[in-house]
Amino acid sequence: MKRVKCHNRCFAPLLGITILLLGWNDCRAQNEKLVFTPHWIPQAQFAGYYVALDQGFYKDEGLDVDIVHATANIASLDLLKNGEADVVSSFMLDAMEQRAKGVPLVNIGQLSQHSALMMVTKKKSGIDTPQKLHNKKLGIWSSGFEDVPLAFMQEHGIRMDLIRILQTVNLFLVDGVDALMVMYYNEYDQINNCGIDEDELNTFFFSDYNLDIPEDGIYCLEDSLNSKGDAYAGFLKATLRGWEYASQHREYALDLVIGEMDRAHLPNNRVHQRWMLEKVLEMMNPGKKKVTKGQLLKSDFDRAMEVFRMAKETQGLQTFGFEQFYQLPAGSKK
Amino acid sequence: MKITIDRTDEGFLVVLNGRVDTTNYNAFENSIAHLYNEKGAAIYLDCSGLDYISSSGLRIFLTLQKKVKVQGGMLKIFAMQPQIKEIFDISGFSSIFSIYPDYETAKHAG
Amino acid sequence: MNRNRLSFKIIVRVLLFCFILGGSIFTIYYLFARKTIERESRENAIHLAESAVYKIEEIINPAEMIPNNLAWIMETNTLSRDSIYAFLKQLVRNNESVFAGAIAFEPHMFSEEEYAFAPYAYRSGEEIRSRDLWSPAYNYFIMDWYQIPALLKKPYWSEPYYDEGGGGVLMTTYSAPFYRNINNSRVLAGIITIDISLEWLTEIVNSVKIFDTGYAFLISGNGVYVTHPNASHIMNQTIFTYAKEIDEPKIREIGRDMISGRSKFSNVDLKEIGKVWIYHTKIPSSKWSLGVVYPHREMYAGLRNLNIMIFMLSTVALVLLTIATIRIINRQIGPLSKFARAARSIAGGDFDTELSAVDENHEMKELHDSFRFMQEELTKYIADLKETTSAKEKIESELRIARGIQTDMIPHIFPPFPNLPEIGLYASLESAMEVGGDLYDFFPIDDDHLCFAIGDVSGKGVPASLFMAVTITLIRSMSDKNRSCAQIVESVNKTLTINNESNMFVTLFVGILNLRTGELQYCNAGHNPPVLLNRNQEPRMFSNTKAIPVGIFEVFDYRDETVVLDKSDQIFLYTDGVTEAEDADKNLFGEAALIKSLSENRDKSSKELTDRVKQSVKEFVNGHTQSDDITMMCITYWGKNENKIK
Repeated sequence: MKRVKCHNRCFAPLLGITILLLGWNDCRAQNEKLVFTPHWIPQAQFAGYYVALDQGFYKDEGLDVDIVHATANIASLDLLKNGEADVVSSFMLDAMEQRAKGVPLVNIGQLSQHSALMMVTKKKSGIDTPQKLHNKKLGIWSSGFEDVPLAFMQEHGIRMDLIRILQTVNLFLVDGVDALMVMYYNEYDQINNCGIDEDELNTFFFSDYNLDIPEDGIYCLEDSLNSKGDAYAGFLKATLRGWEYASQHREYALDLVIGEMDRAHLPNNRVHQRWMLEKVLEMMNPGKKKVTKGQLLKSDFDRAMEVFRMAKETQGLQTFGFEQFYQLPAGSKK
Repeated sequence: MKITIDRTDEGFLVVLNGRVDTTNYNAFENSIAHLYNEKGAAIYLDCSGLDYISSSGLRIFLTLQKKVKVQGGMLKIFAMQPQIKEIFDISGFSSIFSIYPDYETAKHAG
Repeated sequence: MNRNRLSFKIIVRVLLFCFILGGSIFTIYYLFARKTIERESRENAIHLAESAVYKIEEIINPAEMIPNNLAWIMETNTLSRDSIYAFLKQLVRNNESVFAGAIAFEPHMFSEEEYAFAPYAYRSGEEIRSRDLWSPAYNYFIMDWYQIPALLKKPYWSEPYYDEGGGGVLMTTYSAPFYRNINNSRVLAGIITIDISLEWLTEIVNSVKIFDTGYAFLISGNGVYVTHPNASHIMNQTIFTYAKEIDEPKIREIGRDMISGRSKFSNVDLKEIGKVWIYHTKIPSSKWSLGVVYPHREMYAGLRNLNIMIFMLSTVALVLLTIATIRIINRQIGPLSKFARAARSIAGGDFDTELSAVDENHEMKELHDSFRFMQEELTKYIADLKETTSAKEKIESELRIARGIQTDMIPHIFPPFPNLPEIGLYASLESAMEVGGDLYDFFPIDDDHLCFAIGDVSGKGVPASLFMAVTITLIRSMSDKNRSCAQIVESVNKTLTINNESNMFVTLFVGILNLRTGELQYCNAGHNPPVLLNRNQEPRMFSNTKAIPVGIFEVFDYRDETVVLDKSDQIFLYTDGVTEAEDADKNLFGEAALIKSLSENRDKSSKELTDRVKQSVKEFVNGHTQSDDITMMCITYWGKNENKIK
């Protein structure tokens, strides 16, 4: 025993130095540092990213990913624009708007293939058709997402008073607005979790009104993509892997989500997050669309562009094509 | 058959009722047997209620008469019904018994 | 247990009855106690909840007063920027329950040049600080605390929240709108808010103690847990997500009742602590609601302990009752099995079986005595039976002997004298069950004289039959051609009288018929007079005799009598068995009936005539038991040298 101890003492410093040198070289050589910003506060909507990070999928791709959340006041695209984030998730129509405004961002992977956007009214209000929404107050996020409802109103020939809200459903609950914009995976369930039964609500899923616009996608700046395409390819690959793993291990994914929310001091509960994970995963399913995971269909892009033009004053904005907007990272092109 | 025996001033009055036949002649003999030993007794036998008598019964009459005579007494039979009298007549017993039409006649007869 | 089947049944039934009775009493008691506990718990729950609500209201009400009063000041006065800050700081300082206060103005309302102004005073440690809430990053116009009262134009209690500036303290904000008259119209000027820490609220609600695991909780208007013993519920869960989590739709119903401001009792199964009673009632000022939770397990714990005690006592009582019952029953009906054994033993023939002794004054004693009586009676009866059986056997053998003697002594062969054509003779003797001692006989004395006799011995049975045998023997030995009938009878009489202690006698008719002349000499010693039948005349009875039966007096003067028969005359002789034959009503056949029967059959042969009379008697008695011998003899005189016709 004594001899062994002696040997350890002799070789330990040397060994430590060797590892330090080797490790240093290793990190420098392989780990590309990426800051990823999801477009909203921590929740199950981003479960796949947390899983990919926790499971070391990013590390497997030689990436050192740091997740920095956006807030209700600062959008993820702003962080991308000012260089604080290398890669972000964003709502497609918001990204298109930024691109039109000249921000050179590109979609490197479309995760959600469907629209979770919807409007709800209370059944007791009697509003159950698009026409009855005419001249009614619609609660809508101050942070955006208005393109689809605006296109909806235009297509149905109605107008509504848009009441900007920050994020809660309280105004709708106290009847401060007649209708509320909600995400099926989030606010819709929140309303339910405040004691309003599903059968007390009328729902207007935009996807039912030929407005099934894909939503969450991954974006980066065009320059960055050109300079480190392999890193973004790895990020996309690891992210898709993360989502796949999350769908197979939902409770584990929820543990990570709750952990993130706790760290951000956000009220959270598993029941709601479970609903969200389930619905977000449903949105990622191609369904009737002939599309592979992460792919953006040109037809969806075209329809989105149509909606965008309908909703926004396009004068003075740049135009761009599908190929400019959707560019797969170099490494993921097989 | 029913027998009553009373001691009277004259001696004994035996009243015989019913039938005397082979089924009860023993009882008849037993009930009057004590008279066999009465010295010089006068025995009055009332046959008004006697409906029938068989030869076994006659034998007891005969025995009683013999015994009484040996003791110096006498047997007087009275008030026989006609059919009983007939039996006595047929058998010739009428000639060896003292037979009277009624009690009074029997008492006063020598 | 088989041997004690009865006792087993009694024990089982007694115990079953006790068990059912006990069970019923216990159930009634239990239900009653449970009801009482429930009622008291209900009252207690209501009391607890109401008093907690009262305490909460005591703090909330003054807090509500501040913005309301402030709104009045703001509406009537125009204050400078500095004085507003000073005023707000003073307000926060003076109200301990107030964490912060703000006056947020509508756009350009405070001054034309300023878009937004929201002076805010708040506690920071011991200090009271102030600042303008407005910044492009903090657009208060879309905040719930501003937007909702502004749109609804009425005060609003915000959902609880963790205040980031206040060190993560749970807060709620009370917001009230205030107005200004501009161009003679009342327009919204802004919102006045008071932030209140909810720590005191948590304290009040947590101070409600219900047993060990019962508790009170508070939910906001959205159903969010504001206070709950499980800290992870607070602000994270709503009562509705909790309902989903434990998959109990009933909780959701309770939640909906709570946020709609109802007071109600509900019974529900909370997975963590089991079944509970929940009573909830609203906090009138806010839309919040307080619930108190009564765990069944603890609510009924006292009752359960009592039940365990009662159950244990009942078990002990039942065991004791069982033991006592078994002992009593076995003692009481134990003798029964002994009796049963004794009965089997007696049935097996052992009449002296010993019976076990039993207590006095006891139904068993009666049974024992009955048993003893039965035993004794059986013994006696069996003894009697043996005796009677042997006596009967003896009698029957005697009767057989008697009948044997009788039948052996009389001639049976008919016609008896085939070589004597002068007479036709037939005789019949039917013995009664108990032989009566009848007799008949006939025999020729010489070629011309036939002697015949018929008689009846007094008494019955063997003595009578022996007497009869002696009489027949004597008649035969005494008869010769030198003696007359009376002489024969006298001889017989003399012999029979000697040593006749029992005074037996025989009625006897003896006749001697001269076959040549038809002269009939006879002597009747007390016998029934025969009947003379002549073809041309009615039957005629011989006159009664004066002579007494033989065997009575040693010396008696018997006389001969004589009658001459014509040819084909018949003499019919009989014993009293014929005339005294009885039917069921004890009517006698009688002489008249006999004469009638003879008259009807007077041209018949001896045998035929006898048979016809016998038939008449038989018809008369009609099956009634024959009590005396029935004897008949008929002699037809045909005369000498006449050809026999009949």
